[in-house]
Amino acid sequence: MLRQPLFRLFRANETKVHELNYLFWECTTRCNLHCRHCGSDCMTVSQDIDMPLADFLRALDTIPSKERPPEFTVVLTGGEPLLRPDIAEVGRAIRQRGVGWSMVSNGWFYDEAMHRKLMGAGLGALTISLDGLGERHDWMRGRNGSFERAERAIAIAAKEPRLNFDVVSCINRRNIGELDALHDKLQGLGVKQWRIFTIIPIGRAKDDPDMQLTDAEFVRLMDFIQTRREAAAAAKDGRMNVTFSCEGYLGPYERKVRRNPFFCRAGITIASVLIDGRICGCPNIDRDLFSQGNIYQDSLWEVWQHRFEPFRDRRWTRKGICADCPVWRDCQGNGMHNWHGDGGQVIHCHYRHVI
Amino acid sequence: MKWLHNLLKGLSLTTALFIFQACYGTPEWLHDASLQFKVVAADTGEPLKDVYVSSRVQAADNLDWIPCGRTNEDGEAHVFFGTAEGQDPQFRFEMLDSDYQVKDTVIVDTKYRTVEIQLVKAE
Repeated sequence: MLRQPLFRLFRANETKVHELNYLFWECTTRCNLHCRHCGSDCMTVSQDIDMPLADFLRALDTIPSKERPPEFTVVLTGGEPLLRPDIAEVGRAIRQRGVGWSMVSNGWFYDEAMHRKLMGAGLGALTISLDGLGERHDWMRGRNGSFERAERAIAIAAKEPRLNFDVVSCINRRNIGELDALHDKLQGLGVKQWRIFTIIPIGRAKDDPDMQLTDAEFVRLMDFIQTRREAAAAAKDGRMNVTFSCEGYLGPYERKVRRNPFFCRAGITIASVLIDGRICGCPNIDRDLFSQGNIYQDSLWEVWQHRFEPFRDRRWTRKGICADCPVWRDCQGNGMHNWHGDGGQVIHCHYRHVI
Repeated sequence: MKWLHNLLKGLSLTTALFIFQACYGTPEWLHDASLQFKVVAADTGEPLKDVYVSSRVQAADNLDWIPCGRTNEDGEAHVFFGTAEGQDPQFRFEMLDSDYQVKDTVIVDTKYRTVEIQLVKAE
């Protein structure tokens, strides 16, 4: 009975303190794949040039070291970060500042040599995407051979004791039938953590009906995750932890499909430096609607300290379908990345799938 | 209030609340360690430049040496390396195309400091 009210207090306090401990850097928007669900619409050749490392470091250096908690992490994302030829130099430069770094990758370029290079540059966490088995993954990623490359990367990363590693999967109408097989595959590769997403209708996924689960399929996914989690908790034999992402409020499935209750931390503990220097919450948040400044005009730290109001006071989300929603206190308009376009209403409500 | 945030963080029961990953981000970064090495010639005490430093967590044949640094003109290299519970990190110092012997050493105390390494010339 008390858990949720206490959690609301905790969330309110976290918002007030807004300690920055997770900074995305969109270090490229180039990508060697053409994923069907890419929210950033990344391309092989991007109209945005990669931000020079020095520019990002100047922004990072605006954060006083005493304001950086020990777990402060820079997360390299894209596009595909491994397309940057200076990726190891990037990692070392961040590490030299006493800051940890991690990376999200499609795994295509992640072989043994790359692994050794990045570990030597201080890589501390890694996420590789896998969206199905064999041809299904290739279909999703828009390039034959993607599955093989991702599988290789996963096998390498999973056996590295010095890496906090997980696999993420975006579940859609085409791969929902493969959940058990995917689970077994990943467990067999030695993966300890599997994080599952659904796809919101933005970017290339916007008009693709195969990308959006029906209500029944969404519930099926929740039940799958809940069952796997309960089995792992009962077995206590170190089997793979399966969790749903933090992407949205889940009502009756809260605390059943992930450890912590829903809390969108964008702009509360999470920020990003985007490819063109804009400062925002997570990179998949509508940057035209919600950017708070630009590192080429503003101090990242000053922006963090004094702006980000829409992220820290979400009462503005009380409109459209959220206006009279009985769970708004806990949902607060869903994850910020579910607001796109004119911001008139949330474009996706997870809660409505399960009620 | 920062004191409440810090208090909750300090309580082991609530650390789960702070273990997070952003939606499209990565899991929590695993802390590693760092050391400063100063590599010198055993006979003269002179600093040695371009000595390659690599590390691995245990003396196991199946684990590769991971390159983690190279000494500068002052013979210094600031390296980062992973640690694993119960396993002391090993380091290898190698100067290519030289008379100096490869040196392997185990570091037990990984608290940050400068560690002097002496390389000996082959007989």
